[in-house]
Amino acid sequence: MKIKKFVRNFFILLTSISSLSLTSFANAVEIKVGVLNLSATFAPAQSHSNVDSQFFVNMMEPLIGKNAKNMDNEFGPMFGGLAESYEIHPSKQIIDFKIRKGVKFHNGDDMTIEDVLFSLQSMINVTDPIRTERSKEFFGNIARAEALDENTVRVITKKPDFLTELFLSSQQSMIYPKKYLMGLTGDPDIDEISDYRAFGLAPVGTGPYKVTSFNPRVEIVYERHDDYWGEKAPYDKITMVRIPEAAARVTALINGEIDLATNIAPDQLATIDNAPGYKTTGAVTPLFHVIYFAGAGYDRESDALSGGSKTFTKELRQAMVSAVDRDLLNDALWFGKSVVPSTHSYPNYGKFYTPDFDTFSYDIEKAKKLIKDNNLEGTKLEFWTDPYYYTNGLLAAQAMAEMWKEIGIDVTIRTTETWASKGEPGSWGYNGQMQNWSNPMYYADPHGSFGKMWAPGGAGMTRELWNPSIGMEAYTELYNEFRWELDPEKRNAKYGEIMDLVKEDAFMLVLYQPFESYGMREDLHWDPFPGHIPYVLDFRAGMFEDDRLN
Amino acid sequence: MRFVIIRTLRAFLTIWGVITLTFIATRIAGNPIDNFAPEGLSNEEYNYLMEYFGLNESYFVQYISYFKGIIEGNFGFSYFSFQPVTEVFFSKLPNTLALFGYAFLVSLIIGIPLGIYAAIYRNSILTTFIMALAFTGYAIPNYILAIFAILLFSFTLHLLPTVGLETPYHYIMPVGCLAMSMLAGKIRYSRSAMLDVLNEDYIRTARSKGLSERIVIFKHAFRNASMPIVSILGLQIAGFIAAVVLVEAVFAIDGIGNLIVKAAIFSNYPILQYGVMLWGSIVVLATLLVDLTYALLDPRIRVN
Repeated sequence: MKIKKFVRNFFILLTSISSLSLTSFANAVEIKVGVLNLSATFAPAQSHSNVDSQFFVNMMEPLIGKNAKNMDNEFGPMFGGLAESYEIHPSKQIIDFKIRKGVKFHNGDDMTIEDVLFSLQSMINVTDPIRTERSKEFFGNIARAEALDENTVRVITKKPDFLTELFLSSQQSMIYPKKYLMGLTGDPDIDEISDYRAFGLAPVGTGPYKVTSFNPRVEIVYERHDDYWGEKAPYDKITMVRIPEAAARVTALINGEIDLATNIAPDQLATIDNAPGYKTTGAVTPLFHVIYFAGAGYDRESDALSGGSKTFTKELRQAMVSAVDRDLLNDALWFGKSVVPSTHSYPNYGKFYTPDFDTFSYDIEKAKKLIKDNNLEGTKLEFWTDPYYYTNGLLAAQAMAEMWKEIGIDVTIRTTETWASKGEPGSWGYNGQMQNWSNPMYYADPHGSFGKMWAPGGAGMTRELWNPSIGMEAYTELYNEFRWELDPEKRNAKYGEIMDLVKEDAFMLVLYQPFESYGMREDLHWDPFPGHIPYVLDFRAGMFEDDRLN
Repeated sequence: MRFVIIRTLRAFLTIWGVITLTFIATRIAGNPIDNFAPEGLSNEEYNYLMEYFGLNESYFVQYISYFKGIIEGNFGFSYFSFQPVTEVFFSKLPNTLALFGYAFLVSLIIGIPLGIYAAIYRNSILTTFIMALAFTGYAIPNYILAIFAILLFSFTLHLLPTVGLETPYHYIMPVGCLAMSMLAGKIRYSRSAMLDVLNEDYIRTARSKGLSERIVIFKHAFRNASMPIVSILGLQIAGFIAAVVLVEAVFAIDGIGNLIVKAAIFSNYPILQYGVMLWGSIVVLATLLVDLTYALLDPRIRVN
C-alpha cells in the first residue's frame, strides 16, 4: 500500500511542477532569437560564411558605415562607422579617414589610431592560411594604411577601385583593440596566429552590444555596451540560441521561449500565423540557389556519367539548363515567393544591377533538339545534394530530375551529409557530378557574388568546376577588364560579355533567390534589411520596433 | 585478485580497440578541411592547412601521433573553434551528466519498487498498468516520445519549455523521456529477478520460520535478486549514450551527445575521437564495475 501511495504522490508532484506558468521567462528588455545555425568563431577574416556573417553587426564596427535599409549602396558617417568623416581623393586611390573620438571598446579601452592601423594592417599582412582568402579578397588592392596625424588614417590602394568603400564597410574591416588581442596568448608584444584564434572566442569590439557569453555553434549572449559612442542599444540583452530542427524552432516560438525564429520553412508559416500573438515576415534573400556541372569545359570522362555521354559536353549542359522550368519550381516549392532572375545579378547592386541580360531561360524545345541532334539521349548522371542544407534543395533536385527525364536524360539523385574526401566520387565538386550550391551576395557588387565563385581564382574555379570555352587566359583578361573598369556603363557592358559566356558555356544555372521567412511575436516589428548581406540579424537602435520598449 | 587483473586487462584492451576503430572510422568519413576551410583556397593554402593539422601524413604516422598524444594527455583541439578538446568536452559534460543522473535516479527510484511490487502482487490491476507502462516505455524510442511530449506539453498545452536546460522546468521532458526507457528495463528486470527468487526453497524456508514478509522480501529475496538488476544498470549506462544523442538533438541541449553528432557531420576528428574514446571508456569501466560488483555479491564468481 505504501508503494501505491508513493506512486500516486510522485505523479501529483510531477503534475504540479508542470502546471506552473512559464510566462516568467520573458523579460521586457531582452530578446531571444532561435537560429538555424550559429557561428563557431568571431575571428576577423576567418568568419565569412552565411552563418558567421549574421552575428557581427551588433558588436563590431568598421571605419565606414553603410545604409542597411535600402539597396542603393549608400555609405557615410551618417550610417555609423568609426570614421567621423572621410575623403576620397580624385585619383580614387587614396582615402583619408578622420577617426571618431570618444569611442570605447567593450573592455573599457579607448579606441586609438594605433588600434585602427593595427586592425587594417593585420588584414593586409595576414599569415594565417585560414584568413588569407578574406585578406586577398577585401584587402588585396590595398597597398598600405598609415597615420597622417594622431587623428587621421590614410588608406592607399594599388589601383583605383570602385569597391574600396564597400570593402571598408564590411565585417572584414572591423576595428579591434590591439593590446587586448596581442595579450590573449603567448608574447603580448606580438600578434600571433593563436591570438586571433583566441579572439574569435572572446571578441571585443566597439559596437552597441558586447558579447558577454559565446558558446561556439550553441549560443551567443550580447549585452548593451553602456559606453557606446552612438545611440544606445535598445535591448539590455540579446540571446541567440541555435535550434537546428525547424519544428523545434516553431514550437519554441509559439511556446514563448524565444521571441524570433529564423529560417522558417514555407510549410510552417501557417502554423505560426494561426497562433495567437505571433506572425511571420520575410523577404527574398540576396543569395542564389544554383546548380552546376562539376568539371564543365574540361570535358574529362567521368564514372559519374554514362550512356549517351561520358562527359559534360557543352550541348548536354545547354540542353539541361534549358529544360529547367524555374517558374514552375518557384510556384510549386516557394508558393511563388522566391525570385527567378534572368541573369546572375541582384537588385542590391545599385547601378550595377543588370536585369535586362537574358542569361538563363526555359526552352524545352531547344533542349529536346540539342539532345536529339547530339545523340545524348539515355545519358545517365548523378546529382548530389545535402538533403538538409538548402531549404527545398532536395525537392528541387527531384523535380528537376523529372524535367530532365522529359528530354531523355536519366538523373539519379544522391544525397549525403558528409562529402567524401577530395578527389573521390561523392566528394564536393567531383568531376562529372551535378550538384546544388549557393552563390550568396558577399557584398553588393557583381564581383561580390559571381566574382566570388566564378572569377579567375574564385571558389568554383580553384576547384576546377568550370574551364571557360574561350580559354582561361582570355577569360582572365575579360574578367579583369570588368573588375577594374571605373565607368559604370562600360563596366556593366563588360559584365554583359561575361554573362554571354555563362549562357554559351552553360556550366551553371541560377535557380532563384529563395524567400526566407522569420516567425516572431506580434509586437515585434523586425524585417531583414535589404542593404545587408544574407541573414544578418541587426538589433541596433533604429533598425526595428518592439512595442515592449515603448 | 587474478579475477580483477584479468578483467582490468580486458577492459584496457577493449578501450584500445575503441580508440583504433574510431581512428579508422573518422578517416573513412571524409576530409575535415573540405568542411571548414574558406571557399576558394589555393592548392598551396589547402596543403598548408593539411600540414598544419597533420592530415598530410600517412594514416600510420597520424595513428602513432594520435596514440602518443593520448598517452601524453594531449587530445588536440577542435578544428573549428581551436579550443582544446578537453575544454570543449568538459564544458558540455555537466549538462549530459545532469540528464543522465536525474534520468537514472528517477528510473531507479520508481522502477525497482514498481518491479518488486509487480512481482509480489502479480495479479493486481496496478501490476497490469505497471507492466503496460514498462512495455510501452520499451517499445517507443525515446526520440519519438520526446517529439510526442513536445507536441503535447509545449505545442498544445504550453506547459513546458523545449529548448536547453535553463531552468528546472527544462529538465522535465528530456529527463522524463530518458527515464522512460530506463524505467521500463528496470521494472521488467527487477520483476522477473524477484519472481525467480520468490519461488526458491530458501524463501519458503524463511517464511516457514515465521519471518515477517518485509524481511523475507527485502532481506532474503531482494538481496538475491539484485545481481540481474545490477547487470541491467551497467547495460543502461551504455544504452544511455545512444539515447542522449537523440534526446539532446530534439531538445537542443548543449551536451556531449549533440557535440558528437556535430563532430561527426563536420569531420571534426579530434572531438569525435575523444568523444568516442571517452564514452567507450565509460562503458567499459561501467561494465568492469558491474563485473567486480558481481564478484562482490556472489562469491562463486570470484572462485571460478
